[in-house]
Amino acid sequence: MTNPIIELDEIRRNYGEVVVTHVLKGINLRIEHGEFTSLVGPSGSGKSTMLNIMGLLDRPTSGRVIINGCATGDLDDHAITRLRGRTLGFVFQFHHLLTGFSALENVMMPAAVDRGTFTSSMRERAERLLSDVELLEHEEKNVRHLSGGQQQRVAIARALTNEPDLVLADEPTGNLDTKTADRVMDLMRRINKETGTAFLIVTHEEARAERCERFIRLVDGQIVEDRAGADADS
Amino acid sequence: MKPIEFFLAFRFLKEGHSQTLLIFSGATAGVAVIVFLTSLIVGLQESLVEQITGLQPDVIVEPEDDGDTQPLYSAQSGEQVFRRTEPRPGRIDEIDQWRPVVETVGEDPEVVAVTPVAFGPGSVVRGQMLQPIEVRGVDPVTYTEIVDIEDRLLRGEMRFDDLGTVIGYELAEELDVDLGDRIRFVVADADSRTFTIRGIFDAGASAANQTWAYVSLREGQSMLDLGDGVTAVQATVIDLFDADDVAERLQVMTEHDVSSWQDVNQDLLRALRTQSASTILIAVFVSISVALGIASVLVVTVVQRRGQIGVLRAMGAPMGTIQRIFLIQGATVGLVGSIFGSLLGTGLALGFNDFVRDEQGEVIFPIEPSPTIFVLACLLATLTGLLAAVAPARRAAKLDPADAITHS
Ligand SMILES: Nc1ncnc2c1ncn2[C@@H]1O[C@H](COP(=O)(O)OP(=O)(O)OP(=O)(O)O)[C@@H](O)[C@H]1O
Ligand SMILES: [Mg+2]
Repeated sequence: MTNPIIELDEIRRNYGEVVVTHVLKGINLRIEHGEFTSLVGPSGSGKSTMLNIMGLLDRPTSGRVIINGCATGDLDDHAITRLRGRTLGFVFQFHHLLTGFSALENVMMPAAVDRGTFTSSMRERAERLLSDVELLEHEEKNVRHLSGGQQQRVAIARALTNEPDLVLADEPTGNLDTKTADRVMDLMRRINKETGTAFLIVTHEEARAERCERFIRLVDGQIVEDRAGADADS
Repeated sequence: MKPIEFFLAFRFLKEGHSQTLLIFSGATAGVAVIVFLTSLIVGLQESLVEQITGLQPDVIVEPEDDGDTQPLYSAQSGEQVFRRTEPRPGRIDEIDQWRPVVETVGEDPEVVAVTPVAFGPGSVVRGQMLQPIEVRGVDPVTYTEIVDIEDRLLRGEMRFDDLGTVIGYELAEELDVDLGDRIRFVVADADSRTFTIRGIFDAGASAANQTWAYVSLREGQSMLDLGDGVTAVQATVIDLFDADDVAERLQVMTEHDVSSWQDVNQDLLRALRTQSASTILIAVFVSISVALGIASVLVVTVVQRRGQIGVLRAMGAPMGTIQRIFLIQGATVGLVGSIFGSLLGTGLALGFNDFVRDEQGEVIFPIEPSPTIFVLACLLATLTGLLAAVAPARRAAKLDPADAITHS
């Protein structure tokens, strides 16, 4: 069997020096290639903290983060940045698209940042991704003028640009109305099935979370539930 | 630096709209002020120096003050001797052995022209009265290589054949004479000669226009009773501002009193240096305010794009890239501002040139747009922009991506 994409080994994360808050209290988790996983939990349970640590945006207080068999603890900022850019994609509650840039430019950006410049093959790929999220007709539009759902779809396309193994999505539908949220969820599921890209999606809505392959519940910094979801066999 | 960094930097600037316009205008105005002021001061100083050195030789060899006086009394030990030097009445100091001096001066690699002159006091007859003048015996060929009196001729030419003379226009007006008229010069021992006016000049200085009367070296020598002697040897050097070094060197080599135009005009040069220093001070303060403006606008951009910078980091942009995006913005503002500012400043200087004239409608001092100032201004402004961007750039690069993404 191949390595898991990501493996968390006894991850703890504390905040504060004097008054120490234990946010993550020993997380062990493996995410395999192609998995479509949801992560639920009450507010403040540590979901975002866990995702940031998995995404190498934050370092754990103790424990190891192993990505594709590579322990990340000793890597310097540059190596981590590279690894992150090439293996992981991100979608956040707020899209944080580059305002003043077109949808196409935003989608090409992760590849351009990696290569240092734009290329025509990047453009082709970005256009394919935009057509996957059904936004090809808006490719030249300044993202500022897109609707919330459209913006989040651009952000999803952007997360897929560097063909990541895993997309970490922190409440990607948190800002969207139910219908739009469903469309965005379906879109991610479809991409997962078509490309084999793994997704780990934080959400508040249990019903939506249930429709995933795998269902993880975090309470008070600990995984209390990790099971197959309703969509496991589809 | 990668192309993507320039792309992001330029786009961030472009998307800054009014903010960007503001700092570009600030930089432009700052550079314009600096270029205008500097052109003005440089123009003023150059024309002042030119005016002075146009009428004066760069380097002048003169007879030693007390070269031929001997103490009347030799000092015994412990005795104080008061020495008094009196010019020999009726005789003008001349240079010992002036021919070898001319030769030595002419051999100096920095010297481009050298001429012996015979200057001395005289008078011109005006009705029943005598009016004091300075008789200036010169060799027209070599002398005009040193003092550009020819360019200052209003009428006639620098020619002395058949007892010719060239005088200032103010003297000519006072005597009510013109080209071809004859005037009579008298020197101390009442030797008088009649000369024909061959040229009339405007030296740009009243004293010269009223008293200088050029004659041939021969005539000068004979009127001043110098025999074959001369009163000074004058020279021009390649670089005006090396004249003092050349003078120092020639002093040793000729064993005569050698002075430069700088020695003669020390006060003026000191004033010019003070003026330059205050110009630099103004430039520094203007640069500081422009830098503060650029820095504050860039900091605003960093705050506005906090989340986006965090995502750029998340998608694989290293700290260096983020830092350079902002450094490029600062340098660009400086560079573009300096190009427009230089043009504006030069335009202002030329406009000023056109506007400020003396009563005859002549430009008082011509300001010439200088490529050196242009290049220096561009370098200075680009550097200023770059330095101004250092703090915002570091701030952007040091953003904690997780924090920037979740809390903005
Ligand atoms: N930088 C920080 N400094 C101190 N405490 C922090 C910091 N970031 C997060 N926390 C704390 O860690 C805990 C978990 O936060 P986290 O954002 O991971 O929760 P979450 O599960 O994502 O909640 P939500 O569903 O509201 O997004 C919270 O109690 C929060 O106050
Ligand atoms: Mg959260």
